[in-house]
Amino acid sequence: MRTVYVVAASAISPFGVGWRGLSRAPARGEATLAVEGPPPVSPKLRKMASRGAELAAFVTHKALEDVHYVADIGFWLGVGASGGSVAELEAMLAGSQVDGVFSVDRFAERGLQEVNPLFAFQLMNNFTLCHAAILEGVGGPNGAFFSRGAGTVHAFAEAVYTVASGDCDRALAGGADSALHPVTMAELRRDGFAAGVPAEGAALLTLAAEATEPLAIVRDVRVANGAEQAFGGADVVVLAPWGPPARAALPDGLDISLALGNALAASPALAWCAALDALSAGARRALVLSAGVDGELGVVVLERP
Amino acid sequence: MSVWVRGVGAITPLGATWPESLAALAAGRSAVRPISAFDATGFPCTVAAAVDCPESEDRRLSLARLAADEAWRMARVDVDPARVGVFVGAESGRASFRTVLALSRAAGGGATFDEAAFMRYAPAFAASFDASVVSPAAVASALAVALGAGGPVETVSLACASGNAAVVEGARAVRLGECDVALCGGVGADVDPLMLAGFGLLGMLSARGVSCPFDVRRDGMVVGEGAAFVVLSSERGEATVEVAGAGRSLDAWHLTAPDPEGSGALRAMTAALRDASEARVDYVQAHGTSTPLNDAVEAKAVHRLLGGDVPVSSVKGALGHGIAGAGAIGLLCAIEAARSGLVLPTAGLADPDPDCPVRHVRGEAIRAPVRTALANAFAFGGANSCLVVRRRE
Repeated sequence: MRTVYVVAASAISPFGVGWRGLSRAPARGEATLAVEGPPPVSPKLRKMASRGAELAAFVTHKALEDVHYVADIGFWLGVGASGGSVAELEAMLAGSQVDGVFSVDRFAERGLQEVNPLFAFQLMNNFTLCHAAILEGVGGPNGAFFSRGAGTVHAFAEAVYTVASGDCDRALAGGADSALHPVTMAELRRDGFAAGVPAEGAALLTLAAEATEPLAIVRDVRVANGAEQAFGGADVVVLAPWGPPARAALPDGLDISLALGNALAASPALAWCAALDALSAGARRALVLSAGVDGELGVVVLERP
Repeated sequence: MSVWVRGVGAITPLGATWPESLAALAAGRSAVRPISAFDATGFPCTVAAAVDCPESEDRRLSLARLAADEAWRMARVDVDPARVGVFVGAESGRASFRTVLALSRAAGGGATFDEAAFMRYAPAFAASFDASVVSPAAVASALAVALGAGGPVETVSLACASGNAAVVEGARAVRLGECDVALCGGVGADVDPLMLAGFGLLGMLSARGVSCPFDVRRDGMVVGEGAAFVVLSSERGEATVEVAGAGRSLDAWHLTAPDPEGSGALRAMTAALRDASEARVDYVQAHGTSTPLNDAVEAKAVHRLLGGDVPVSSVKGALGHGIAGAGAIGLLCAIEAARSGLVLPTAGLADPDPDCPVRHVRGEAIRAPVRTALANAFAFGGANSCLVVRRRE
């Protein structure tokens, strides 16, 4: 199996655009953390895409800015429940009520007319990956893993495997998500994970089998079932927990949720970017641990070349 | 390492078990009926292929449990639960309209979302709101808990390719030794007003209310539902069929239309054959959705790869399009073909489109010498996933 290198990274988060500086982002005290301003994507995409898809499209474009041939690049993403635009749902519901009660007849007769005909694309989770792939022409092996903690790490593991095995020579791996959706917030609150700060973001690592000036070498990527692990040999530990209950299960380290909030499926990928930032600042080996509501522990080890 | 198919299970609009569905499919029956779960008057399409089972809070989970239980019982694997993985293709479920309305009221009920109002009302509201019915991961989690599975648990959300792609993940995990047994499959339960509205607004549904893949008069898909699961193992037991290869690609072309040259489909099928070390297959269970574009593109890609002599069929003519469950149901058809030589027909195919130049199987099932079979799943958004299964003596 071939060695897999990280050759580039792209990120967008409440900290801003880019991955440099993420390991030094200051802790914030807001109740929610949004990406400031809309990411510069086309109005047409904004109409069709969920927030996660919008963010994924932005980081994918950044990741491929200097790449000329993309047809065979693999693409692996941890994604969340896209949910659909609240404004669209509001309009649909407003048009579907009779005397304050939802009416299927009224929905068919009028509610449908109030809805953006493209809203179905906001509801399907795969479009978080597919919008970006269509815009950029990415055509290699791929997968979208719904993440409730470790899904994004599964995506990374798949990407590493496809490059290591020769299935493709380059792959994008990361996550994109927004917790700033009422249904998602309600779900997390019900599961006891809403004490964290809901946030949003997206991040991608570009992996390759060959590199002249890699940012890092991928030494390990796996998902463990939350059992006690002995972690040694890393001079920086980066944590991506989904709220205090998950945090309590992790060892000491740099908790990126203090600065970036809980961006769900994007959090592990943002943590990998923070690890890259730490490596670029002189660290030799970075261990990234991510934990969510699914009880699984994502483990990634990146090493400076 | 070989990856053996030890068990299969399915619940479809034509049967509560896989043998029941198989018999109906072989006879060329169709499950497409007028929608009865709600009044579909005024909707873009008023027919669907729905499963006859009691309503439940999370229909996906109910269907998945039935299919997974059947597959697991058949498999009779003797394995440490810590070495069992669960891989499910699923999209988001649907909160009830009552819940969504309550959420809307909590947010002020106006034309714009009032975040401050929502955060005031949400805590009290959340206690009564079971959001697990929405989470795609709920199915895999529930199945894993039921089995005590301690291996990898993954949820693949790739729309129409979800079920097929979940089996790809499961097979890979077994092959790499990440688990010894993998329960994998897919489930779709999209016969509901919101998804019918969504697909209809996109112009994807059949205005005639007919699902007839590859037919010259096809004009769109009919939504279906169902679940299918396989149990894969590194140990052969009594299995005769293995998952031999997998291939995936992205069209990177359009949100709903396939790459008109079929190059994405061709790449995925070619990769699957290469992974299986096979130059050709004896049968193709096509994605075949009854949409004008997909069927022609897929048929041409199959013809380019395999020529015009390999039998091709799609069970979506009988079962409608089960979205996240469709790929796994199609895989079961391919497995059956390899296991027994029974090649299922494309229900509803009366007049094959000359633009779909493959050897169609029509009417009733046929018997054919099938050693290898290919199962295709090509999703909205352009994600393609293909599996090759092979019978071994």
